[in-house]
Amino acid sequence: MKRHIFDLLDSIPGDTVQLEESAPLSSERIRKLTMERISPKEKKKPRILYRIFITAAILSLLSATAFGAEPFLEAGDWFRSVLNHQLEQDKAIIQSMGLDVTVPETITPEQIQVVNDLGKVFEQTGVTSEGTTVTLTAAYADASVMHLYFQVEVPEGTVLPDGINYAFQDTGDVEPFLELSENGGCAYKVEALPDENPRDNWKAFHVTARLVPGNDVKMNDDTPKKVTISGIYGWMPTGNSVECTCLAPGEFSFDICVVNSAQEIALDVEGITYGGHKEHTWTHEGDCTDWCRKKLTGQKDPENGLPTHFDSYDFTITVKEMKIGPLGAKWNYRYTCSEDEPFSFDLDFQIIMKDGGSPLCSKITIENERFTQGSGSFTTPLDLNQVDYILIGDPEVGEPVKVFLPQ
Amino acid sequence: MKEDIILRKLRSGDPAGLEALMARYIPYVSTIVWNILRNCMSKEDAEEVVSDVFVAAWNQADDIQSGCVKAWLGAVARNKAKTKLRACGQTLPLEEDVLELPDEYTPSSAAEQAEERKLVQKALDQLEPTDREIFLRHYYYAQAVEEISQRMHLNPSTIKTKLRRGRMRLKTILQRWGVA
Repeated sequence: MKRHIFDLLDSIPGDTVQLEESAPLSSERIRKLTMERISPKEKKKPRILYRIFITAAILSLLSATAFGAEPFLEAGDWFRSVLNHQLEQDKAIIQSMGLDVTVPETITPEQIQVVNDLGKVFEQTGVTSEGTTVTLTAAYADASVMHLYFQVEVPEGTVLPDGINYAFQDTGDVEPFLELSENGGCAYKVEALPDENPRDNWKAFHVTARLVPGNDVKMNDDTPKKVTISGIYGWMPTGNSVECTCLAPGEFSFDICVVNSAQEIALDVEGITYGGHKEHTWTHEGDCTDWCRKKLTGQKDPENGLPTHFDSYDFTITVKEMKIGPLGAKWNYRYTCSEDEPFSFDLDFQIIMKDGGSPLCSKITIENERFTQGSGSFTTPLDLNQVDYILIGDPEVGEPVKVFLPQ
Repeated sequence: MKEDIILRKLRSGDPAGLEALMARYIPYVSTIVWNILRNCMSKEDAEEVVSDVFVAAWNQADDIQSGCVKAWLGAVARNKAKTKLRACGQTLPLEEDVLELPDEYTPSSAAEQAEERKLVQKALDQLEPTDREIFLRHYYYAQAVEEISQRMHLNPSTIKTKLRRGRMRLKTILQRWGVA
């Protein structure tokens, strides 16, 4: 009987030889080819809703295969775990605020589709500097908000811990994280994603970048945007405070373009006015300004023992303009207040989805002489077809106005 | 990323695990595939075979044992490349690759195949470390004698002698079992 030695060795582990790795093949092409060919896996969760979702996903995959389409990873596959994690955080916030809002267990297929439609998966080329490699994996954007997914591997021995806040620039760094144009102001927030091994040197990050109010640059046009990361920084506990500490130095930059046709929809809100009388009591720890001292009641809060302050005022808010996109909204409004030194007033609005849910919105406002301008990013993407209406107004002082999206 | 983390991410369907796996092992898998297929196909086609290996790792992550990732990739790379080689109608230019064994030698059952694996491993373990490395470079990784000679700074005739020694050891052990 004849046996080939090459075949006889099939069953033995060959990894004991330190092989020189010098094949003239393109790692980049192999990587790209592979990422295009793999199909998403669903994590196993013993929830009925999740099982239904998995079935739907399998059916859609089978349909795609039946029509000859190759399944491949899209932006939604990268952001699925990010968004499900965000839903858990949203739920915690809503519970702590005592709001009566439904938060779904998992991100919906429609929302993943929004991410796919607005997203882009990048060629997996990491940028290495000072032993640290940062890879920009995927992003999705509408006109005013961009979400990015990064993977960071710092040198062995350096730990990227869980439970701290991260930044991609030092506090005094003047270079913008996302360079848009000369007048393109942008705020960004870095969030470390939950890690199975929080004491190792690898971590994935989700970054939300959004235009500051009044900026008319578009995040999703075909003008390249430069992302600059000037080190991996963590707010590390030091005594009773936290300090922004450089965990891994380096300079990393990426030129990116996430082009899509997502438009902001202008709502018919001009002239909507609400307002009334409000009173509230609050406590304040630490030094007090003159204005703050004027509000002291002379009593202490029974729960925390701090001096209480009381405020009473009348206000009105008049909306000038509001636009909504799948990832965020922007608005202009005017307010008046009976106080001599008034507070800033945020526009009160709540988006109500057809399933009863209500996405949270992280807001920034900027005041100028004529209007207060605000912009916000939704914590999870909106399928605008599923928006039922938008409530504008403060329910404490009157019935909010229902505004429907134009047909 | 540590290997057990890569494996966990692969199993949970996190593409970051596959990225990390490729970052670490594309050169290794490419070398195995290219050694076997370089006379049979273009670089582009070989790159697709390497990609097949990582797609298999993604799809069969549950089968990969912790601590055996490299060995698993190496075995899958060899098998996929061998299949392509056969499809090309070619064979590897290896030194006297065929062992003539007694007719009684027919490991057909699973138990017999497992026994054969043990014997092959035993034969390798009995070789001097340098002889063993040369044997694996040639018969496992399909490196040519001239290449092994350059890599290990040994005369080609020395390489051939050591390969012959390995073949004899393997044949002796398998013959004993087959006759018994």
